[in-house]
Amino acid sequence: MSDPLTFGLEDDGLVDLTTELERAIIDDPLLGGGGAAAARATHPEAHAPAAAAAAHHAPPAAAGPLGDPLSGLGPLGAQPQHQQLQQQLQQREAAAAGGGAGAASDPLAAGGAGGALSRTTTGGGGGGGALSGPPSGFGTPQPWDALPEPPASGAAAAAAPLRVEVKDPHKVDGGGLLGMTGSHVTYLVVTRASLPGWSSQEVSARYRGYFAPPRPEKNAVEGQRMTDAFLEERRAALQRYMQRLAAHPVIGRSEELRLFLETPGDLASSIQWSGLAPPAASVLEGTAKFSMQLIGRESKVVDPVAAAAPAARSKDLMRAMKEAAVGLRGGVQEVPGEESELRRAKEVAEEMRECLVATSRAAERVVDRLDRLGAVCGDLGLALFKVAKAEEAQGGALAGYTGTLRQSGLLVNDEKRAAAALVRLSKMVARVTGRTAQELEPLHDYLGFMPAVLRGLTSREHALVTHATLESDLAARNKALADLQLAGAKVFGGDKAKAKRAEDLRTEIAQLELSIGSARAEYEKIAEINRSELERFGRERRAEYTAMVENFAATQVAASERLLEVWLQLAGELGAAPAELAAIRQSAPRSGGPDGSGLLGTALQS
Amino acid sequence: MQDPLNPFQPDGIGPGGLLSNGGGGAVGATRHASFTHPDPPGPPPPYDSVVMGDANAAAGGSGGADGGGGTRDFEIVVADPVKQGEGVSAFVSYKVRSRTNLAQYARPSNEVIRRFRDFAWLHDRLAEEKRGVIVPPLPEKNAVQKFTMGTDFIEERRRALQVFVNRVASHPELKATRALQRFLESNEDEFALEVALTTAAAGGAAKKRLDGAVGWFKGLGGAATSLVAGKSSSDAAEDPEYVKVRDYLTQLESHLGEAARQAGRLVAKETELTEALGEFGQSIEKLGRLEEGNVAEAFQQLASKAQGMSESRKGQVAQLAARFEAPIKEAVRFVRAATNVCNDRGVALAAMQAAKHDLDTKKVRYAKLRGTPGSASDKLLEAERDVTEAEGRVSKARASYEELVSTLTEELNRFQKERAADTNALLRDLALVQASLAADGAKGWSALLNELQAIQGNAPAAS
Repeated sequence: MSDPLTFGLEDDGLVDLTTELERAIIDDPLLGGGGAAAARATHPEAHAPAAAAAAHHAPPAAAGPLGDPLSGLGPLGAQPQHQQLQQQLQQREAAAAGGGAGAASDPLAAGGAGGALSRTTTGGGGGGGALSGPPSGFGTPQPWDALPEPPASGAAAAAAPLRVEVKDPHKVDGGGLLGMTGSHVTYLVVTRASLPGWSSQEVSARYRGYFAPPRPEKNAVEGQRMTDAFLEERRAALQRYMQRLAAHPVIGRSEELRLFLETPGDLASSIQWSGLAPPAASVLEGTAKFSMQLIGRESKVVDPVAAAAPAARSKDLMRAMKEAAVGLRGGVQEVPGEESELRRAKEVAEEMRECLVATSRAAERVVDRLDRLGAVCGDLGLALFKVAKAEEAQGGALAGYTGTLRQSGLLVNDEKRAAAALVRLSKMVARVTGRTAQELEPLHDYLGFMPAVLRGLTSREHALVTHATLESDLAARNKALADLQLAGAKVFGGDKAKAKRAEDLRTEIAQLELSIGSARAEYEKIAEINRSELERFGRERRAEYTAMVENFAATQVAASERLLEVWLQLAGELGAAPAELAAIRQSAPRSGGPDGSGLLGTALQS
Repeated sequence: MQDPLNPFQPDGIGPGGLLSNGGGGAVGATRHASFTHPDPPGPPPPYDSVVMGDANAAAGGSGGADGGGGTRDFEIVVADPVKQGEGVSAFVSYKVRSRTNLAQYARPSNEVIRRFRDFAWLHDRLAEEKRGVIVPPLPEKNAVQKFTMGTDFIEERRRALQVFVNRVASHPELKATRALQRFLESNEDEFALEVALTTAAAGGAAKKRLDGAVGWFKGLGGAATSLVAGKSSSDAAEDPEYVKVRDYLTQLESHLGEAARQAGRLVAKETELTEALGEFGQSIEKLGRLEEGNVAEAFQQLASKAQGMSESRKGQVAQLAARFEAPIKEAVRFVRAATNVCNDRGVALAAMQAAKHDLDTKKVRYAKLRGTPGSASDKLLEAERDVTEAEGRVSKARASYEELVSTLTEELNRFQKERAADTNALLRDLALVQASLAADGAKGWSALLNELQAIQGNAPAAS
């Protein structure tokens, strides 16, 4: 098993992918195999009440699981019968030691580890645990199991203190919903299929300028089906999503993710969780304010706090209209130097999205055609088998009649051999298809990612529009004030109303200047985030792409060699000249050594 | 499969010259044996040898024993398809080049121009002249494809026609026929005359397969149809062993038809995969242009390999179509041809029975007349003559039937032996073509893997 490639291509003892995945998780020594195994052994439903009780004993708000290892010990003591808890305890100590050692360099990682681990114990049956171990602590990920490790492992791995697993999907009675458990989420935390409150929109609202990973697609029709295959697909997608979130330098350390992973019970009933939801702008409130603004009772000037928030989120309709108008006039005309660079990045991102649409579709098609080819191989094998059967059952008549018994036997033999080989190949091709589909997954993933990237980049532009709108407001008021003063200079002594008006304008100008500063700061913050996110996104994407191409090529090599062997064997059985077989064999470079003693050679012999 | 004689390959006449044959008519049994599988240790004869006549191995054995008495009689190539005319009346003409060592041919090598219709004429003439012989089947007449006349279709048909005419020329009964000689030798005018004459002789019914006795039988009308339609009445007199054979053939045809359909799908799916691979390469190439560094290079390599492989796969998929799909389709047609001959046999048997029945009636009438005192002597004489005539017809029908039975039995023997060899060859070719497809894949993808490693080696990722 040193080479993961032998795994999926093992011909006999064909293992289903799901089981592979489970085994990979269970076998992973550092992920607390005992925990996962025990979780599997003890029935989830049987486990739930105990964990529920534990959760009640340690209300998250009071105990504050983050950073307080004692709260984790409470429920631990309550369930001493579980052996794996001992194990986890040891792990936790090890992790704590590691965290302590690494604390100076990465305090957040250590904190995260403590929190996550206490969460594990609360979970009871949750399994492994989120370890902030060294990067190699993730064991040897099977290529279809985990995200490929970026080659720039040093920095990237240290920045990924969380490792999230979504596993053990099981249907909850009545609800028909997806039970999702992470390694530190209890079985009580069910119905995470929709990830309430974690819509990409809200994430991107709170984290303006960040490229929040896209949530897995919610397919209503498929969602009703709830087949095992679908559950597995959804589970894998959610796991990838959670891993991406956890790996994100900022979102991975966010309060939201922490709460999501830690809150026991139903997330929807958690006050903390709902408190996190960004205050939605009520249209009603906005409308009321708008009419007041029109008659001049309410300030028309955007205050500094609001200026830092996106217009779409604010309750200020007037502002939204102004900004929309600026946007309509072609946006901000004069752009700062670095801004144009970011705009160029956005153009590239848009182009990339187009390319990804095509590539993702092409990849899908390759997989689909491969799939069909495998199916046809099976069909042809079956058809040949039927021919052989018919020959066998009735061919004796002709053989007896014409004295061609030997030919008849050979016919049946040949047809059966070819049929068996074809059916076997069909199964192999099906597995290759599955592997290929998985390896090309990053293409689909990044296609899904692109809207978030574009949104992140757009939010910066919005901030710039806000800034520009405020600037033009300021200019208008400055002009009005100057006009007023000019008029005032003419009318000696002035009049009171005008003086009042000038006073108001001065206040508004002062406020606007503050707001502009705030908007400017917001814009610069987002621009900075954009830049670092672009850099991170590019780095991670390239790492995944590199791994993807490599895995894809390796799978295709292994698959081709395996198919080659089966076909050559069949050709040999059907009496092809050895020289001809050798010529074909020669034309394919063998990864397993010149004499076929490599991994495929041994696979063939076994 | 580099044998230049393979009729499924577009090559011209092979340089190998005429191959030795198993010998003349007396060695029919050994000829047949040469079509069979050799004993397990030795490799079976290649597909082309089966189609073209005899195998080298057999030539070395029996040919030598005969003192070089027999050489392969024909080498025939169908080449240069040219589309003639436009629209509905459009057709494709082919050059039929042949070399022969049969003495009855004026020249050892001939080249004539023929179209599909002429091949069909040859087929029908042979079926008519040599009853009981399983005449090699013609490629199917596909009205839709004929209308479009794509190059693929024309090439496929050219190959199939070449296989057909070579099979005819290697058949012990058919190779010496006048029809084949006319087909290979006559220039266009002569051939047109021949076609006109034979068509006229057959009463315009080119498809007519039945000789006089059956023709007469057909005239019986209602009684005849009931006899032909139900197997029961004629089967009663039919050899029960043979009935099983016929049922087997019918079943085989349907099963083999399904296999051929799946073979067609296989080729189609291979083609689709090839196309998808090319498209994938293209889009990856575009995506790679937006990337930088190692990834850009890796994508570039992936794209070029995928596109290159898509190109090389095309030729191999065409090979798959020529060496697996076409032969398996031909095998289905062959089985159908065999069933057709079996039907002829049924018709001949029914004819014989009807003649017998007629004879019985005549006999009864004659006996009645004789038993009736005072019958007119001329009537009696007439009835007697009727009986004699009916007896003649019965013996003629019986002879015809028996000849057909013996020919068919020998033909079925030959058929099964050829089929065993052909099936073996086509399945082997499937395996071989697929193996080289896989070998190509292995080659291309591991080249990619090497390139990727080189890319990584050149510029190790900044860590």
